[in-house]
Amino acid sequence: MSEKELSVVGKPLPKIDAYEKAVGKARYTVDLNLPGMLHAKILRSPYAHARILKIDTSKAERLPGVKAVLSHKEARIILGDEAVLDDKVRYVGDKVAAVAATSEEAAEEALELIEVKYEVLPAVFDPEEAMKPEAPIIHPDVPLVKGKGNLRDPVFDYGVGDVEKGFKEADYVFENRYTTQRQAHCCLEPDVGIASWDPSGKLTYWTSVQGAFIVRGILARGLNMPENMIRVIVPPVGGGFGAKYGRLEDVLCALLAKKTGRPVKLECSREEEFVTTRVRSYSVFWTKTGVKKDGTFTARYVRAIIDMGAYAYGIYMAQRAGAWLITPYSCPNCRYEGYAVYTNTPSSGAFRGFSSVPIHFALESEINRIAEELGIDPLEFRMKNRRKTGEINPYNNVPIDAKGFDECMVKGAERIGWRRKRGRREKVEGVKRRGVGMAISVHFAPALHPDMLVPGVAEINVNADGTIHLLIGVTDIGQGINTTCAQIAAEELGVRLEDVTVSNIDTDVNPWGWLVAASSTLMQTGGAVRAAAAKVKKQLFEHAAKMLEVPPEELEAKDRRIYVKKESERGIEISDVIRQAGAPSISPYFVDAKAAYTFGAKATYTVPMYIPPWGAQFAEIEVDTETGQVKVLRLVAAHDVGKAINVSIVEGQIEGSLQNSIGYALTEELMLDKTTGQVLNPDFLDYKILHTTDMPKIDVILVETNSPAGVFGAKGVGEMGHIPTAAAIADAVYDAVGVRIKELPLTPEKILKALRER
Amino acid sequence: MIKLNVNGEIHEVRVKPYWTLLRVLRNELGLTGAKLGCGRGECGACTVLMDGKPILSCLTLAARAEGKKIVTIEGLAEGLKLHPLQEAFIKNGAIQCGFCTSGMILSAKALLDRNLNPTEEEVREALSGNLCRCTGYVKPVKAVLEAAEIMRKGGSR
Amino acid sequence: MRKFFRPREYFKPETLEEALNLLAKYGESARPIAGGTDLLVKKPPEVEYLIDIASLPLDYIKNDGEYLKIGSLSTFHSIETSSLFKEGAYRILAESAHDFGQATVKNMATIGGNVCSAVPSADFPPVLMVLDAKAKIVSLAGERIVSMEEFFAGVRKTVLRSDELLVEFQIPKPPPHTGAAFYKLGRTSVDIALVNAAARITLRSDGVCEDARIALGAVAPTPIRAKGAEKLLRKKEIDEALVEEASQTASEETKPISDVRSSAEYRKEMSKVLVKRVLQKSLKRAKGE
Repeated sequence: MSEKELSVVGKPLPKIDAYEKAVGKARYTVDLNLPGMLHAKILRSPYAHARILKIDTSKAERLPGVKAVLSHKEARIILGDEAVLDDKVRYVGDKVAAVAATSEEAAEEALELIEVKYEVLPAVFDPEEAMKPEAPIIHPDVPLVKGKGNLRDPVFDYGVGDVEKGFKEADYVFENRYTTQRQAHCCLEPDVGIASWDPSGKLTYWTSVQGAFIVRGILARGLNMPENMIRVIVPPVGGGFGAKYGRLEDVLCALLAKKTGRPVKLECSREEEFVTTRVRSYSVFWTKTGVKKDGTFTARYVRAIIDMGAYAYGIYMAQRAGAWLITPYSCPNCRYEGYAVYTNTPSSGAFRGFSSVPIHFALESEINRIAEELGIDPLEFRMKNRRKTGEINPYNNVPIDAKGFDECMVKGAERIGWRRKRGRREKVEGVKRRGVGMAISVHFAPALHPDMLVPGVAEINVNADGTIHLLIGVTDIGQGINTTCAQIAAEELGVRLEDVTVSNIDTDVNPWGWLVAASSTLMQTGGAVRAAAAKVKKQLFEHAAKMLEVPPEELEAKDRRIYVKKESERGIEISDVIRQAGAPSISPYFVDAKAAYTFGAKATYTVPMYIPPWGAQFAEIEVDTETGQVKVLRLVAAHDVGKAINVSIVEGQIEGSLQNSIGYALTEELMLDKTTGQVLNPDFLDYKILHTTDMPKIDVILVETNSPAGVFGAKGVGEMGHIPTAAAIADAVYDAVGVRIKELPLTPEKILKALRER
Repeated sequence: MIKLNVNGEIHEVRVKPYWTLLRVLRNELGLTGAKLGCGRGECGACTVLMDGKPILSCLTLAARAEGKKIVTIEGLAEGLKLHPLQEAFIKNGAIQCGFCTSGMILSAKALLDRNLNPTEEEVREALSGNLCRCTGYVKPVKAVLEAAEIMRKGGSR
Repeated sequence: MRKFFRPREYFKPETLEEALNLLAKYGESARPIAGGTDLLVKKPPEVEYLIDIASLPLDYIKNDGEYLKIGSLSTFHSIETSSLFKEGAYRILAESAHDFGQATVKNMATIGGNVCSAVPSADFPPVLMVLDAKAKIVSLAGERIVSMEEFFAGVRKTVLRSDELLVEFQIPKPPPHTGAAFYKLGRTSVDIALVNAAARITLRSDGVCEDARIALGAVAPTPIRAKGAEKLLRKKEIDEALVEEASQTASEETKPISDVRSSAEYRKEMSKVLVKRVLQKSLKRAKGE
């Protein structure tokens, strides 16, 4: 189908779930209450590293209203390197015990009555310290690299060519160290689950999560149960951003419900949310780059140290991050070393721009620095070195499709006024200076790794009147996947958006689906939706062909009608096709029955190849040279989205990413006490995310390149907006005042210090 | 026992002295449109109107609300007819996860009730207490400006 | 010891006398609640009786010519939007109210609460200090007037007894040729102050500084006056060099701490920058520029 014929795809249609949300009627998991439901609370560790010598829950159990208390004695169920409840705690905030009571107050009071005797152990909070041989060992039972403290085995070490040779060939070798901070997701709906058992032994679990089937798997393993005896229902989700992919608290909630025989709701407080959600990792990057005088790369090397915190959810960060070293620029010699290290700090894990965001800050900042040192404009430098279409990406041996890369850079540069503004160090209002900066990005799309080739699944049921019920396995967490998939189904089948109903996930009903992660949801599930719709269309065309007396391949479907391509006036309503297919009968019941089993299909889809989603961002900022404060005046975000299935949704993904990423650049940091490891700012008062009044003017430029790998040409867009921002803003700060900050976030104190040391 | 006027209806509720208005709306009256996002008055997800002004129901004692007119998101539409702000939020893609939406719409309503011709800056000020992690505020701000325009042209209320 | 905030009774007095009687009766176990934006976040477990003072007739702003009188229950929104604060030195009341925080909190938080919570970073105390405001405090025993400088006793501590209520702020009419300014430094547009500063300058008709007042917040356990800096300015013709010198002196008068929001060094440095900025602006305004 050529683009001009599209009638539903490509339109900025309202989201199908927006109506219930606009009137306050959408019921999120936090809004649900079951009869007889108990409230659970978790006792959390005050120590960063300690052994529980003794735990006495008897006083808590005797408190009126308390129905159950659990400790490691009953719940030392280990999945991976974490236990549901353990006899050891590994960060301040780690789970110690749990209570279920008739009210939140009683549960809260009961926690105070649990007596715990700890043996406090030495703790380590910094990943580089934690790699020293003398560091206290946090997980003696997992594979660690010998003599390297808490360094998890394996070290990820890969690349192309020979970097040592490359450095020898270089005219200049640049070395640097960058660090990036812990960032919290700040989903407005905190983590929450409600567990309820029925007497047959079946567990129903309502939760706010990005992967219902992943949670089902965790529950099945944690409870040692068959998956068919677990039903996970996901009501509307109040934000995900990588935070919500199942946790052992889910198992804990189910255990409390089982012990009490009553439904149990476990809802995180905002403080717990900050402390226990697996944050974006604190990361350290050592970079070394060899270049020729003309700006050609001879070698690029990065050692990435990823702080996993207490448990190893962040290990994939260390594994994947090298992709973003190798993929975007041509360089014959690249080497990446990824270290994943345990510390006694909150665990890190997935967060929008998973594995990409921190390393892009380091790599793109370094690119800007090198360009400057060589006297080459950073934009030109990138144009020169970016991979060309057809070049083999040594990371995965797939040919590069660079279509869109230049367009993002050129259009973005034009919009910000790059040539006019760069390098002027513009002075405004006495102590204020303005500057512009840039950075590029690349990310999953997905299909980068063979193990990321998880298929999407979709199922389409056709109603007797030609309307559609679509079932997919992935969750709408606000990103609009239900609407986008409905548009795809409607487009393929030739019906209208309002003809398609998409149900939220119920694992007893929906087909299997993976996590909402790695910008893969639309690519995989959307592809499956189109494939399923194509199958249904084929069924419809076969029937319609007989009715219209033409071969099925001469038919087209649009606006609820099937017609002959060359004679569009010759056609038939889809509902009539279905009605005709139903056995002629005086009873409408049988017509509906026949229709229902005649039409419908299920399909899977796996993205065939990796087509990178490129992006370039340009920031214009103002620095107050007396206070060190940075004000972002304008942010231009040009991204290659392949094809925007829904322009409004795609823009929304990028605009929302920018709220996250400008905050990451400037103000957001989960801070830990350096001596106790305690989170110091577990609230919005001191964890500063941006308000309406903090946001700059935003220009989103959608570059459409029609990816051959994506449904209707689309690429995954959920994360791309977050990736280049911090480096672009840091570069703009340099352009304004001549200092490069290598440690995120770019706080006023750091900028002032750098200005003083300049 | 207190009497609360919520969306024009009088409810008699037994409350504890420290119960917040948010708790009573959600747990006692089943009006779950106002959300508990932080419980500390920092996120704005619990915003409701009290005598026409947006306030944080998580930091308002239920007993304090007695004798006041409370409007929640559930009270904005007339039956199935949406308020122009709700229409504009839907149409402009201003709703993603939707958890902040009711608070944003109510903050915006209070603004438009006193100023039907706000500047973008005034809209941003009015929404400054409503944190959103999904939209970057771009489309919500646009939606409020559009609703204002529709209401100026005589769109309902 | 009580560990949880579970007040057992709630009172909503309609008159001041009723409120004072309740405070006298319950003493330390009672707490007046106004906007609630501090108390219901802190949730102090020792509170057994909540005395909701919102119905008392203390939400007013009036000018009797000699004094501007602001009822302690005036909200930041009332102050921000009051027509009495559009010009002159009083305008810093509205300007600081504007910078106070998010729109919703402005509708709730009261000026009395902001002062009585005695948080070192509160925005209003420095403003009230430079405006030479006095607090009117009442109890069953009578009434007393306390200047803002004497009001604070430490972090979250004031001279207020548990049976007393702060009912009104009285701000004398500023002399002619007076300019004032307020500046708040936050991490984002909606924030608690890392440092805040206010200044008020009165010039004689010959341009010489008749009086100067400088106050800072978040740089000591209580809001402070920078009296050494003020002294440098009084009876002098203020030029750029003097502003610089006074700012430096003010900065040296601060005793900031390091916390999650800022280091002590940054606060000290910013004290200088902020004082410089409020002095420059006050001076401009005093000159009618």
